[in-house]
Amino acid sequence: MDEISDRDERAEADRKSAALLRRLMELVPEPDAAASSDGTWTVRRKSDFDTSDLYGDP
Amino acid sequence: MTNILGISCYYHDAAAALVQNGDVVAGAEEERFTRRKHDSGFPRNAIHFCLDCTGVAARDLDRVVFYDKPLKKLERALVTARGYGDRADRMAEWHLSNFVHRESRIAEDGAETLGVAIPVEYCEHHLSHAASAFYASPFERAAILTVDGVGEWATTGIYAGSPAGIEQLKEIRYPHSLGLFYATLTAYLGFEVNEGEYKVMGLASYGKPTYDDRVGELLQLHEDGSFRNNLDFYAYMYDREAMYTSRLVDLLGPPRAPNEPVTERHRNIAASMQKLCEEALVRLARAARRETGIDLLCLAGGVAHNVVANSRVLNEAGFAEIFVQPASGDSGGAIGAALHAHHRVSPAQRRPVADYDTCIGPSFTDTEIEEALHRFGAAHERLEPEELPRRAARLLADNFVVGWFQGRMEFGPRALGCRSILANPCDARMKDILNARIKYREDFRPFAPAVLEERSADYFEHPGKSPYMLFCPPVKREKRELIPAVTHVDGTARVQTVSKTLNPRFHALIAEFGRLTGVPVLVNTSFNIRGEPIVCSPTDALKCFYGTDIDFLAIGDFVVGKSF
Repeated sequence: MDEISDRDERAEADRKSAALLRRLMELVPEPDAAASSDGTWTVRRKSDFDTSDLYGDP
Repeated sequence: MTNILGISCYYHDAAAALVQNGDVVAGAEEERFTRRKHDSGFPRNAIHFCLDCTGVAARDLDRVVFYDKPLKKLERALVTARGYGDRADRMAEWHLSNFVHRESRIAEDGAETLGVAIPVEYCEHHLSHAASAFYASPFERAAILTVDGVGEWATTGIYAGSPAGIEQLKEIRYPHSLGLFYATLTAYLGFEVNEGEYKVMGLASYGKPTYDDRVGELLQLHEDGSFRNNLDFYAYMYDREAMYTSRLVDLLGPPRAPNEPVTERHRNIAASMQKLCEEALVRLARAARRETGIDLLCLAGGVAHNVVANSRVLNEAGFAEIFVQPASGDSGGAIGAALHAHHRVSPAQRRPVADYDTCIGPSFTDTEIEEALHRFGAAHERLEPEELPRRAARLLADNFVVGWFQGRMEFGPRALGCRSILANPCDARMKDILNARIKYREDFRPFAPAVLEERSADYFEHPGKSPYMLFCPPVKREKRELIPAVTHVDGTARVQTVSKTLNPRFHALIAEFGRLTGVPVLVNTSFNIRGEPIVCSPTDALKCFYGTDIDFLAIGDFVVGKSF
């Protein structure tokens, strides 16, 4: 009985996690095909080098 | 006095390094302490080593610098996943979980390990690689090229290094990646990604590039040095398990399973992908030369461990000299991140490094070594310091295999005469003996020679020094029969030149071996067995010694035998 209950709880957690991920992914912008998919050089801006911010400037 | 701690972790090859007033004074990969190869966990042991060895208190650290920018990396993963819909759900989940549970906690993990909260900075992945090469190099100005699988978005970068610092000029962005091209075919050939690339490079020499055209469909090279992966063949953008699609199998035939015998087809595919990788790296290096107008090159990133490609760059890309960071993979990012932070704050202090020393790891006193010898009940003899190289050279000349454990451990994947297994290169059977009885590894993998720097030109067609085993020049034709154990099937060797300055005891050993045999060259392979990290402590060394057919162990001033 406990095993079945554990399994149900895990399945429910997985469902919630998948739903959360779907909602999060809706917030993520579509990939910019022109910017990064042609495999040619991208020239960088100086501001991109800043290491003092916590995680960069996505 | 400034103390900056660099950290890399949470992907593979976690490490820590301490930069003091701009000098790299201590560093080690975490795997050496935990004994888990490529350990990616937070490098607690390596951090404690860096502080203990230098006597720096945690509160005296000015800052801690992480080797990439986790949120940018997450952005890349999620944006890429968005483009692949449901197929990429598991990939997105993994990246999100990795960020939430691991990478966003760097500051907390750091504070917990150090016992005090130190400001944490985050240096871009490729900038860390670029700094690891340029700030360790002997050059005042240099073109810098970084090439690997992927960092945040960049997979390749060109920079200019000068006394003012490092300026990024151009980059190629994910999913187009030379490192992932090589990794994908490494997986297709049945080898482990981030581990088996060396094996594929060694295998390539046994094949012919008869798959040129087909492998060329996977990676299109452009005249300006850039390239484009044909994404129809790759799955790494949305699948963490599979690197390639069924289109690749249609193109090249069935993939090799990990324990399946290696056939001529596998060898020829390896030769074809290696040739394309070399061509790509040469074009990238030429682009770096054009972009900067400088004829000195610094190279880093995982692809810079491809020593065959490095040699082609040296010969064909128009550079007078090349410096390759000896720890070009992610562990070296810890060094680069710390160096970059130092030079950003103190640019005026930058001074070229004449002889970059990779031996920045733990060392052990003779008392500590003797304690370990007693614990193992090891039959040993203590020698006078000057006698030890003489005794070891005699054993090597008599065709014994010798474990060589001396001084501080190397940082990076190569053993350079501090944690090495050594043997006589003149005996043609030695390669098979080492492969079958000691290293337990594939018979097609070559062994590297260590040669006295001043005698290198007599044996190898390599201009100048090669102290870190990062080039693979031809062995001079007339010497190939003299050193068969280190001459690869294609007549080349991954040479290490040994100087008195960087490693006087190892130099003395090779010089004595040269006096006894007329050949100032030794087989030098890392002190470990297949699947294990290189040994760190005397205990690790003794376990490896007794677990294999190594005949003698020269450890500190002691010689250990199995039947004295």
